[in-house]
Amino acid sequence: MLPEVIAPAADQGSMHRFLLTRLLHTIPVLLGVSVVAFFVLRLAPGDPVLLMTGGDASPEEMERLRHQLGLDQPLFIQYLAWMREVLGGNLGTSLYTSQPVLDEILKRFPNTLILTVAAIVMAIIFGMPLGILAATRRGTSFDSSSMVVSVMGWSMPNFWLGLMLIVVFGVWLRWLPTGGMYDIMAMERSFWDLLSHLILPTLTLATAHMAYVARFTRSSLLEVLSQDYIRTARAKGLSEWLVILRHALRNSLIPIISVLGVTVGNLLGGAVIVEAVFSWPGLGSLMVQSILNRDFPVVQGAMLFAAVVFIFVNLVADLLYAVVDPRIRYD
Amino acid sequence: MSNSKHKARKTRRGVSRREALKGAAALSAFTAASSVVGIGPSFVAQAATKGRPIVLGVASESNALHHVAAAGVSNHSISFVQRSLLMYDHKDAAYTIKPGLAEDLPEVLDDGLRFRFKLRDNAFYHDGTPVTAEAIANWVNLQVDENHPDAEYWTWAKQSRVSTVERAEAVDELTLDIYMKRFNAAQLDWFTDRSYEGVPLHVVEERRDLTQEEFAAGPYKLASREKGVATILDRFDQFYDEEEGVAPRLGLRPITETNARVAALEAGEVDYVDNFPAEEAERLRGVDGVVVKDRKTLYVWFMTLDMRQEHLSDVRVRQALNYALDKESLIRDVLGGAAERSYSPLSRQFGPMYAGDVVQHYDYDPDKARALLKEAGVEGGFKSTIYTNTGRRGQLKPVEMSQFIQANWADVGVDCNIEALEWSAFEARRISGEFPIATRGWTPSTGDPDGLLIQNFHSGMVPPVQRNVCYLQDPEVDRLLDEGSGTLELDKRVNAFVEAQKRIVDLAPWVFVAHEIAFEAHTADLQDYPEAHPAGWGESLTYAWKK
Repeated sequence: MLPEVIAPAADQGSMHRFLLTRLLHTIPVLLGVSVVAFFVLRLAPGDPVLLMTGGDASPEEMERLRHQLGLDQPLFIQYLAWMREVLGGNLGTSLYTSQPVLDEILKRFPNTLILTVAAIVMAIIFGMPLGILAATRRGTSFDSSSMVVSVMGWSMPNFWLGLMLIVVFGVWLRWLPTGGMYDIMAMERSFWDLLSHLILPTLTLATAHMAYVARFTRSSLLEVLSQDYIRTARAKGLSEWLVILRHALRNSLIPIISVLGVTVGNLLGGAVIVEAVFSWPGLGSLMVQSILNRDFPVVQGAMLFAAVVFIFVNLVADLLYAVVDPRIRYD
Repeated sequence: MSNSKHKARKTRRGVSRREALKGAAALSAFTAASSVVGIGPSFVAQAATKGRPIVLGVASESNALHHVAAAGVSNHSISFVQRSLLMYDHKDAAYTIKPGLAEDLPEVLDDGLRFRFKLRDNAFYHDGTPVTAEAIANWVNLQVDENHPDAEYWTWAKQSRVSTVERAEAVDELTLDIYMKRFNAAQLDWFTDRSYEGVPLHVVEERRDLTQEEFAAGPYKLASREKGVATILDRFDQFYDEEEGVAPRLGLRPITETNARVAALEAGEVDYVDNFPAEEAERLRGVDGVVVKDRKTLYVWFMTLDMRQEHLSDVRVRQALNYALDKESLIRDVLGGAAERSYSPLSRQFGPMYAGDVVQHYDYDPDKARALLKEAGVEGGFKSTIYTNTGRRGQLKPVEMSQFIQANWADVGVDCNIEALEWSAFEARRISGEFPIATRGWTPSTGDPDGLLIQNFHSGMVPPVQRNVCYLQDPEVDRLLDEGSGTLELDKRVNAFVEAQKRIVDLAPWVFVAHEIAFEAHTADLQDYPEAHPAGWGESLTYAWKK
């Protein structure tokens, strides 16, 4: 929910202007994304018709297919045709499945959303308390070791971590599934089935983000804790935890929100490596496969979709600043 | 095999507190209802068959279940749902052809320009429509006749295996005549291609979408499909051969990452995997409850040498490049022994057509390589570029192999850069003849050698027509290949193709490197999986069942 309902009446007008301005800024951004999405893939060598036919078709047959798919038109004409479709709410049709691109994306996006939300929640639940503890125990061995652990988490390659978790928890201990989103042979899908499949990819994806949430929380909190009003709060006799949780933490959230906003936006475009390792059927794996297949409409549509999502998430992040810090106005 | 692991595999993910929470009730309900299963909201009733469902971990997922709509490389799912007029015996590694939808091998009429098939009277498509001569004839004609009224229905058809067909005609309901444009000695092999399965007539009339539906006639039919998650196939109860389609259900789970796929097998989540490297095969042999099999293949990995290029136009240079490469060491050290050395284009799996024992052997001899280069006037060597790809299913380890080759060749003065391209970019440029030296791995789609030999070495097959990207244009090779493909007499074919291979090897348009040994692994409770079968991505699993 946008913070409209809690904003003072005097601020609502400025918030509307802010939203309108942001929406207007979106237009050139999306236009730029559409150009990049359309032309860059076509500039890369590789012929989708060749891939579709496996090289078995004669040159005449390939030309016929190329014509049928509209791939023999000049690039600019193809781009305009595609933009006409996009403005009509149609992202095109997959060269490979003949299905609407939007349908292909919307089948996969919820899976990516589930994984992203789970990873971010885990990153916040574990990362922020770690950062808080490190900040309040600055200079101690706990502080040092927690920051070392966070650097390790940040540095660890997703690919390697995911495979290690699969080997330990899936193969050796057999506590959790090695991949996929559901047990494909189960009679019905259940929430517990999904949850068990979600744990390892979430842990893999969240580890790096936990690490930098912890680091950002620590550094941001340390800066706030050195402020005069914190000294005043302590002088008033408030307990340290009350000082931190009620006075300091909220003021340290701005940089964390910034980082999380960018991260969520990126992840919602598809966590490609984690999806590949765990065979998670998300947007990232769709995009990679479509790029390899030169399924132009899907790549274009997915990139545009990811851009819209990214813009939306960052807009939400910007709005959250005002929630966290009442001094911020939408001017 | 330890009891705990076997027990764990029986319950698919081992005994765990999570399994207990999910409920023994769910598990026992599944077991009790094993003949009546469903996934999600759909519910399929089927006759009881043997054993439990089999789950395959597959490296790639087809975009469609009909071969004309399946882009790129075909895979397991299509081989389970489709059949053709003829088929290879999946219990026999010798590529023996046996009847499929036809009740017997065809009559060969008009000196091989007409084939008459008698179809089975108990073959059906998955929608229950009988397989008729009219359905197959219509489908074949749709592929070969540009003026066919339904020619625009589907243009994805992989038409290479119907390219020799002039037309097809239904003589009666179950008698089909196929007329050829020209004689093709390999035509019986080509009739194993799925282009000859046909579809029910109404499918064409209704313009059904073959990327979303299948109207095949194989032992398994589509039950449900969720891209990126699973393809579920149920046994088709009207399939004509009771020996095939033993397991009640097949689940194909796409796991693109090789290590994750193998881990799924070890964890008991899947029953079969293939397409993994030699190092994993060695490790899996030591795992209880897992059976690993080697499979010698038709596959060949080679390097094309563009004979139009400076230096490469000289046969002595091309031979030198062969002598300069230590193929045994490459196979041992880079491929982990997962290949046999290639002496000529055809592997031993081609049976009597194999010529590796009688062709010139380019055994590793850098001194001889230098001598040949000196004879050819390039004593100081020369510079070039090896074009390869960054890897894809069926290409072994192209970059690592190229690096090994680069080092070997550098010893004799041939300095090569390596340019590794993503597959799509690589292949588009390779088949247009852009690369002076390029790597490639290839599995022929039939067990007849003419496809591999003619496409790669006949002068009529230079780009843009086909794959002769080394631009070999030798009249004697052409004559021998034409002779081999122009007769059905086995002795004459063998002689012609063997002589052709001798000539080809002498001319060295390729660097002949390796024939892959493929690996597959399955759980020990998979029964009746044929010990020897032709290469084909687990197609023989139609005979298997799971305890």
